[in-house]
Amino acid sequence: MERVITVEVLDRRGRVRERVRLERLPAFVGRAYTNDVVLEDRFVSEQHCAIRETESGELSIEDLGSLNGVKVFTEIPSGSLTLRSGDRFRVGETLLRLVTATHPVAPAEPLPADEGGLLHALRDFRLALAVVIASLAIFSLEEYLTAYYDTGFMAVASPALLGLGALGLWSGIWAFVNRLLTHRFDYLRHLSCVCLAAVAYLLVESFSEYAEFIFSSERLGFAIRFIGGAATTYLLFSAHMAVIPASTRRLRRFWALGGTSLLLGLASLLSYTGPDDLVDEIPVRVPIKAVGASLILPQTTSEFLEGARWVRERADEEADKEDR
Amino acid sequence: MISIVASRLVFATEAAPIQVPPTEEVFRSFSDRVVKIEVQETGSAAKASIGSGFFVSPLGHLVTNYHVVAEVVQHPDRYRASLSIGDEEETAALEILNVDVAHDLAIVKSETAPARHFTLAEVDAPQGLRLYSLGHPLDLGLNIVEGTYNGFLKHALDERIHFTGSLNPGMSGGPAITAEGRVMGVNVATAGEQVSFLVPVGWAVLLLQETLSPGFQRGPLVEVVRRQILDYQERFVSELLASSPPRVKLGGFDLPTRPAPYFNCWADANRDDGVGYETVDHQCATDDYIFVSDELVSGQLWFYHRLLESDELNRFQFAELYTDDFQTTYHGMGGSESEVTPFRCHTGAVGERGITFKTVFCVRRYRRLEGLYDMVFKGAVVGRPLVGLETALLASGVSFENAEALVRWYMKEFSWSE
Repeated sequence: MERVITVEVLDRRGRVRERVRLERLPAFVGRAYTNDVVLEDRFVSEQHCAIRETESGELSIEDLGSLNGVKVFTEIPSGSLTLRSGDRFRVGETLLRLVTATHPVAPAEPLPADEGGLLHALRDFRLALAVVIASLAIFSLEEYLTAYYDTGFMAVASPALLGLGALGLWSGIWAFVNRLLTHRFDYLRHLSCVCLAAVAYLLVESFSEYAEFIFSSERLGFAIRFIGGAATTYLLFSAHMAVIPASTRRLRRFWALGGTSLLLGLASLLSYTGPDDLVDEIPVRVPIKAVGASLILPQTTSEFLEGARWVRERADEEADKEDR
Repeated sequence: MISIVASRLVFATEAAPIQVPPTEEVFRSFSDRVVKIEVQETGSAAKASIGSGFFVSPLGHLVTNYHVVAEVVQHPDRYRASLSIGDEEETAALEILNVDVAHDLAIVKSETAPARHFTLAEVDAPQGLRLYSLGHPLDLGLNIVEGTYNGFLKHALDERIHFTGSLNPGMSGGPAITAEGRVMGVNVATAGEQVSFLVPVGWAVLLLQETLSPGFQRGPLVEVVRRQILDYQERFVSELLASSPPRVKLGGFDLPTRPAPYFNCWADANRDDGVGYETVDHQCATDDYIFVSDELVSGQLWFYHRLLESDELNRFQFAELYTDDFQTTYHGMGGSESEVTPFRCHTGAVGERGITFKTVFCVRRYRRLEGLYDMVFKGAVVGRPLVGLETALLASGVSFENAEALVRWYMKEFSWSE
């Protein structure tokens, strides 16, 4: 049976850059084109070293009088060096690894689930562009429906464009990271992801306001905004990480969680306006919506006041707590 | 000297036209009964405020305004009051014996007995009577201001004398007297431009009588203040609750207006250029208030309605406008963190006579005065496209029960007639 022996050329991080299957033994390694493994490395001699099979069937490496020598990362006596499958050796600046056919390999990983879904579809730049344009239209519509002071084109379009600009910047950062890690930008895919997330958050917010309007519960509104916001942010981070194909599922989850907490923390920090004890402000959040009033279940004045008794208890507690 | 002035006046009233003694004579006769009251911070001995007062008993009792010595009442550990007479540098310590916070009066006592004092009694006077107000305006030394008596204020919950003459800060607590030295009132406030107000002497008479009565015991003054404000609000709220206010029509709604003569009401319509909506405002407020401390007034009640309409905006834009307008609440009640707690609010929805309101009920409590609250109630009518009606009822210094009762009373008065 013919032995299958492969020499792998590794990069600095130890990842395989090139595989050379040896056709014969001894095999030669060097810069000259007569070698079996030809290396592009100015510290490597023309014919640098040879890989041989000993009588006992072991593989060994022999320095052929090279300028810079051979360094083998294994336990070996000097001179002719014995190698086992998986041992690495360095010639010049190049790191090589020798593997035999029986060398074990890691089991296959399942494909990420979202490959093939929306993210996959967004590889089509026409769809991604359509998503971005549709989002811009939705931002403008939202802007138009909430602008009552000035409903002119510029007043409506400029905040929407400004928002898109911010999302564009955000996507740019992701595309840059993408470029660093995988030599690809995928800018439009990142942008379409964040546009979708922004539209989703708009829906969450709108939904929370309608809930507050109909059920008169600030807490319910807050819960919807918080949970919806966290979910949207998590999905957004996961999507960005998935667009970068080098990321593993675990890494994706880790960064998505980390990014979500960071963003939510930042958002709550920014929205924090000092301790809630300003006596000259009346802290009310009472969104009034254009539709849905008929769904409100109103109370009588007495029932409403009964439900409001807690404000007295709160005020009393606060007055007694700290008699300044 | 007093008798001379008095007899001349008796003579003068018998034989019209009246001869009024020169102002300098009035000043000379009575200036030694008027003092400067200074409130100092005990730590720094810095002057916190000044006012005036006047002797009303041979034992050294003086009448002044509650607001002159309010800091001492509220923070006896941090402030003290003292008096000085004329231009003398010497000061004497003052003890606060009794207060009438509703009428802004206080009885204080000096350890040094005065040479002379005013004798307080109820008086009746014709409109136009010449009065002389004495006090220490802006700490510029004792001053006399001539003016005229113009009867009692109309449209006020509490009696105040309308004095036409210039009262300035620092004159508070000083007396306004007739030429013969009868106290008509106590300087208390000014609306500027010669429109000034006096506390009728009758209230000072009552307070002095109470203070001098044998059974009188000086209680903790903050508690006295608390009780008096509670009594005051009980009085005017129960009167209000018994009333049935007239209605005003605003865009198809029938709304309560001026429930009692002591309310002032205004209305205004507004449509700015280039804005796609218009507002109509109607508001009513009491003029009266109780001074509790520098940072807190109480005993006020006001309410307003605002109709919002648009024929240019779409429903969604209008809803946004309505929300922004409704959530902006100016309560104008002042108050500092040391005096009141922050407002706590409950939101809900109320349906009355076919109208659905989004409602907010907020209270904050007076930190040192248990049982007293400032209340803000707001409602916004929903379910009518492109028409909004906001309404608000605000009361300062009321019991929680009365705050609730006021809201119930108020909400009864809304209806839709179109």
